[in-house]
Amino acid sequence: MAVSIQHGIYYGGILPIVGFIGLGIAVSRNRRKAEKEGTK
Amino acid sequence: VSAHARAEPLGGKLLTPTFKVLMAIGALGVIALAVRYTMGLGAASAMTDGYAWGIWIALDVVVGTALGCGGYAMALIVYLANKGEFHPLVRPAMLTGALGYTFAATSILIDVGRYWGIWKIPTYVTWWNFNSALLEVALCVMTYVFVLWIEFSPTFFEWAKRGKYPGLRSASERWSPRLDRALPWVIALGMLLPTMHQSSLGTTMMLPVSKMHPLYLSPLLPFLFLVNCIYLGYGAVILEATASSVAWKRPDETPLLSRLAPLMSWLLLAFAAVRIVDLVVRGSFGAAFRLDLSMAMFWIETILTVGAAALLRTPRAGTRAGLFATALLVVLAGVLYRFDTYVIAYDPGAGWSYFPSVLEILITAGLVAIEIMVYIVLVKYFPVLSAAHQPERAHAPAV
Repeated sequence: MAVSIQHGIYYGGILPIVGFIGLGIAVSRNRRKAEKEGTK
Repeated sequence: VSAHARAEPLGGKLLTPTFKVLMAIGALGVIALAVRYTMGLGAASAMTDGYAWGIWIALDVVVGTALGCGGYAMALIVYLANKGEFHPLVRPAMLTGALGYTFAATSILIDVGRYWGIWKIPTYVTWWNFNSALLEVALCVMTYVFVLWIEFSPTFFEWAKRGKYPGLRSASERWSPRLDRALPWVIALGMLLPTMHQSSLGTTMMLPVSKMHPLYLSPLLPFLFLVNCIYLGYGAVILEATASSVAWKRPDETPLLSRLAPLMSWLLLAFAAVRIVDLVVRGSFGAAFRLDLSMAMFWIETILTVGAAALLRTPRAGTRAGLFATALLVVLAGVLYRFDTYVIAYDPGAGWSYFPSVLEILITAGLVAIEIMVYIVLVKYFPVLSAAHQPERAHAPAV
């Protein structure tokens, strides 16, 4: 049951890599935005 | 943490009565640890073949890491939702996170029988089993401990830049910009890793299917554990910030902290609703009316969760005492859910029982005391707490 939920820990590691890249881009973009607004 | 939330060391006397009491508890824990490492697990703990884990896992790791999720929860708001006004809360939250996870990792070294082989987990890559929830937890927790200390490291760079050691000053001036450039990706990793391993701590308790109480066995355990760690993280941030403002007579941070209340309330309600709807849909809700300990704990947790969610929506959540008391309820509800899932709802069968030994309790208490001592040392000597909230150094109370 547990195995079926988290297939090979999120599809053999693909989902974590995609998540990491997505989060990194989002954080970098937010950081630049905050720097411009002076709220960093 | 950026310039607008400039942090300063708290200063003041270190060896206060509170600190001395913590030292005594920590020393007892170290003595208990010596017994565990010389006499072995069997002599030191009440764990058996039936109960292969006890409070070192259920409290120190499963609960300890969730309470350490304050850094993760604040990162989600500040860096992902871009709510910069919460920035002053990030650095102390990262510190409690780093300490909480270091404490959890230490506990694993105490808990496992053959601790000397633990280095093989990250290095024996060809042996990895990608269907193992515990492998994922182990790898993520090990990595996240380093990530948290890197996220907290600007504190040490700031300290070195202002300090009197030229070597450290020039090294920090050289490395600080490099860290600053890498930080968004370190923060991204710091958001990814808890999402993975906190949900996998839920997955782990889906494995002993026949040994779990029906109220606690669910295919949604990964989701429930993830939501639970986020509201526990916010609860821990409120408790830590309020306690530090009272203990060191820092100005009240309630106006900022109380802005977390609506989000926490929604998370708690979502948690309770998903849990109950899931039980009803799967036909397990009848177990909530069969008299046993797990049933009692289920109702206590549900009442605490819904009660705390309701209290967070009242004007009392805008006062320091009210918010502190409500955050305590939130933490109690969340901690009980985790502890009950791992210990109370787990029944290995007739003939097995578990109650922690004195040495297990002493080691856990000792580790918590040491963790608090390290926190006190760091906030007193390093720029952790926001400078805007500092009292006059001369008037800082001796806590």
